Amino acid sequence: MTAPATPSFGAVFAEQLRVVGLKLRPELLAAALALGFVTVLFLRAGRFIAAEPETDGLIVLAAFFFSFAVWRGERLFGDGRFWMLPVDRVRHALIRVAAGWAWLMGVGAVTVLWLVMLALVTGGMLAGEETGVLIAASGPQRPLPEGLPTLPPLIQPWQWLAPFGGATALYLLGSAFALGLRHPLRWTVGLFMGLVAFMALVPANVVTDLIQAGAGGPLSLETALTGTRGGHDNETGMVAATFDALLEGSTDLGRWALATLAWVAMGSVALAAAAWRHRER
Amino acid sequence: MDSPLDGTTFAVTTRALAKRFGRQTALDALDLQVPKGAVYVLAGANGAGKSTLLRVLLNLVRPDAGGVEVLGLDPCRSGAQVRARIGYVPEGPESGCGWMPVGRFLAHHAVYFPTWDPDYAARLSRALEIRPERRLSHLSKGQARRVQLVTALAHRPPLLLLDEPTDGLDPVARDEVLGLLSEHLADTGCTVVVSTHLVHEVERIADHLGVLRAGRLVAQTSRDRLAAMLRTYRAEGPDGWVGPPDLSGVLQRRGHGREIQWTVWGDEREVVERIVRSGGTVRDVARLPLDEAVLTLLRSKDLP
Repeated sequence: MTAPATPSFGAVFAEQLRVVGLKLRPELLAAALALGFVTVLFLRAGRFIAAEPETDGLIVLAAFFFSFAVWRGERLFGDGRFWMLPVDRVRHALIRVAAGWAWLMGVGAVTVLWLVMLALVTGGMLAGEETGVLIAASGPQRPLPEGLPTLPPLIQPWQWLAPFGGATALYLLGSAFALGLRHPLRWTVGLFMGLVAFMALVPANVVTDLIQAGAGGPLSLETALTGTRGGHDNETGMVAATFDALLEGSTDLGRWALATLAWVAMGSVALAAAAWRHRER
Repeated sequence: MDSPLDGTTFAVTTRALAKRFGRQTALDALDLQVPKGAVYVLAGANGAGKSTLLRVLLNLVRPDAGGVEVLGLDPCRSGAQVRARIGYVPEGPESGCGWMPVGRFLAHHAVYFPTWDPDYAARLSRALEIRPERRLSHLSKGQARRVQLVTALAHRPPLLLLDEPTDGLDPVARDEVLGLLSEHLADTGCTVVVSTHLVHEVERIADHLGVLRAGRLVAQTSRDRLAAMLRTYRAEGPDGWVGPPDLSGVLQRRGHGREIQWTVWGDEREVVERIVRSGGTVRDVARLPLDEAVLTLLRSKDLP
């Protein structure tokens, strides 16, 4: 029996998992050191909060630039070794992206588990206190009474998945940049500078409106990342009869799923277009 | 100057192949024919289009016009299948793999080429004194070349594309590599296309020659036919003698007093007859070594 001329999908995927893992050792080591630092810090200071809204930005940045690390050093617009291998070029690129994604999810899962354990060990909380206030028996239009109690963290079990969906979307977008552009870092910096310039030039109220529409909208990145309704406005706006009702009102599985789907779809389309640039013909 | 190769089966053919990079023509109406089992030396100056041609065969570069067939497949349609059947030594260093130790790099290739022979790879590595624990980025040019040769040979492909394979090798290593290559050819009977501008280094294994100049294939022939047809003729004649007026296939002409020397592509008997008929006396007829033949073909303005 003659051996097949080209390698199987499974063999290539397994090899790319190994290669990406080995290649990302410096980044993984840096992440482990950062986690170790946080651990030491909070073991000494106490009361660690596992899921803070501020971590959203970190997830976005980490997932986006993780894709750059996956493709680091590859000569994608030339005769790089990656393209010399006997696999259809588009398929090969997508397999590498998938291998990187598997590592991203693995690293994310370990990080989340570690942070949860850290919160439990330090007597901290799984989520911040700012997610809502309970105004028992208050009417919807009445003024807020003084001395409202702060709620315990409002976090649904499925919300632990939310950062993974958001990270997936950002990773796909980052991969599209890394794969489809000759100078992805320059493009990223350029787009950021352009955004900053735009915000500096247009009136402040327009900027505020745009940010609110982007951050608090049903398909916003924040919704995809956190599973909340977005905008962190629950403290002042939410009025509910019970804690459960408030919990139900501040988070929305359907909305999160829709937002995540939209962002992942956008990332996938961008990635497909980027990979298509490298097609066989 | 194409040799008649009717009836020959070809491992590689191109038809009117063209490729431009901006305003620069890399390949121009190129009709390449590499017979199966041949060691085809693709000679030419730097920038003549040799590397571009090899990249087109691997579908790493898309041609602008013309057709390509490699081992019966169109690389543009079956790029992966074509690359699986080719052992390729690129001109430059590896990109994206510099962080890999050599052993890991070889293991990486073993996954991608199902026909990879680990025993043969180990034997080649030993023969070329490759140290598997060293990182690719830490290797010298010559050491990296040896690793590339192992990746090209160890899956025993039916076609080898070697882009300047002796570049960076010291004379001992070069000899070692050519010896291994000869053994490999004897074992596998594969077809080899060697691109080089240092023809004398691969002269001992070459049996076909193609000469590229500014993207055009100006000559393509078998080594035997080249030896039979391309000769230098030294002749003397009376004062004022300029040689035969109807001598065709002249690539080069030099005069020293009453002595004239021609490098001619043509049948020896016919050339000698014409010189004699014109009043000259042929003193010497000589074959050209391969590298001199290439040089003559490259310098010649008007090729027959």
